[in-house]
Amino acid sequence: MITLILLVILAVGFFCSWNIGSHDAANSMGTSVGSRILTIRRAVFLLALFVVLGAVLEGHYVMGTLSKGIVHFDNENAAIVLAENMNISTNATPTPFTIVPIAAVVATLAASIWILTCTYFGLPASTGHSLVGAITGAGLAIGIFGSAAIVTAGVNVNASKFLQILVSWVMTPIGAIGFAFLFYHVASRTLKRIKNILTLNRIYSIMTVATACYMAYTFGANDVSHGVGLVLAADPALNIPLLALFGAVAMICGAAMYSSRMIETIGKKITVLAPVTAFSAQLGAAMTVHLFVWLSMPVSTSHAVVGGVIGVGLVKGSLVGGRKLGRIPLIWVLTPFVTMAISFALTAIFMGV
Amino acid sequence: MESWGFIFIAIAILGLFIGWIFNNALVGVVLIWVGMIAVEVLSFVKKNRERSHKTKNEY
Repeated sequence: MITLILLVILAVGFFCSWNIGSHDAANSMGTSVGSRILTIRRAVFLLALFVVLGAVLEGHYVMGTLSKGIVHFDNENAAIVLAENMNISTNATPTPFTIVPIAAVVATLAASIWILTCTYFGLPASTGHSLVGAITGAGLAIGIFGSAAIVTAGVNVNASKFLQILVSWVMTPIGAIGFAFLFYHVASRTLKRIKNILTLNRIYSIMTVATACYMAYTFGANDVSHGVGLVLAADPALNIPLLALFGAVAMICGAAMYSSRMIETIGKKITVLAPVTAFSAQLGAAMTVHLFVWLSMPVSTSHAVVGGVIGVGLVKGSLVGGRKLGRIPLIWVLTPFVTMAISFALTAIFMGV
Repeated sequence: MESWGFIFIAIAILGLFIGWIFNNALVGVVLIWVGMIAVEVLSFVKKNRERSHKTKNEY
């Protein structure tokens, strides 16, 4: 049954996904628009097709981690009894966010607030990092300030899962650097043999659009859970593919309404790269994100793209934008801890501490 | 936002709604794909027709 609190969580999830769609669409389509292979309309069209596909077919991997992998009950039987006592449906094993659904709202909002603040100051924070921090903060608050019954069921922040996620965040740019380095070597050597410029241009165009579509697919598979992962935590009995479709539609709305300027800006920045460079960086980033989706790890597509560009820069013997990169790792490290603190404080306040 | 943005959003929401009615996300995905591709094909045909009209008038 759809309750008022579930509607509120769905609304917050829609807002968060809308944000993700409007800000991160450029990671997939910036190259194609910047190099004038696609118009913005065609780019959003392709993005919509592949985001929705990635979200519905593979969104469940990361959604599972965010909804019940990080914060869960140690004693599932006590949790089921607790849910039954509170007249909550127990069609699926309840999570701490099912018992305290306001924490799901607060955690998603904390992540969104941090992302909006960073966007305002032009800092590249990741939604995935923000959300993992926020979930952990909310989980800690439930465990500390929850009622005696909740504490008896044993709210537990899974430290090993959190550590795995931290490792995957460090490995994302490194993996993208490696893949981009490899693809650039292979692509530049293979394409050197083609002498006809028209054929070469056509191959570049096809490769750029194909990798953009693949990037959009992995973007859907990975990022859909950042918006609606906590909706599933609040009601684990929901139909996961339908929830993923809901998140993907919100992302499409964000991309169609607000991404044009972002795509143009990023496109202009990226087109200073040669086509083979842009293609290799994008493919390296997409493959890295896809690998982590299969491992159910919530990673950042933006960080993968940055890694891809650095990887290609390494082949050429230059570090891209070394000075600008200076602030980026600091934000990457700070993000989960800041959202954890915001979410912990807000959850404690809403729980009446 | 331009008119195509509204059309894409309308198709996406319609796909979600129908997927929800059928309780099957893949139905929604197929509808979104079919709807968006149909809109793109129609707009392509319309543009081509306008272009050929212009060329005829120039002659």
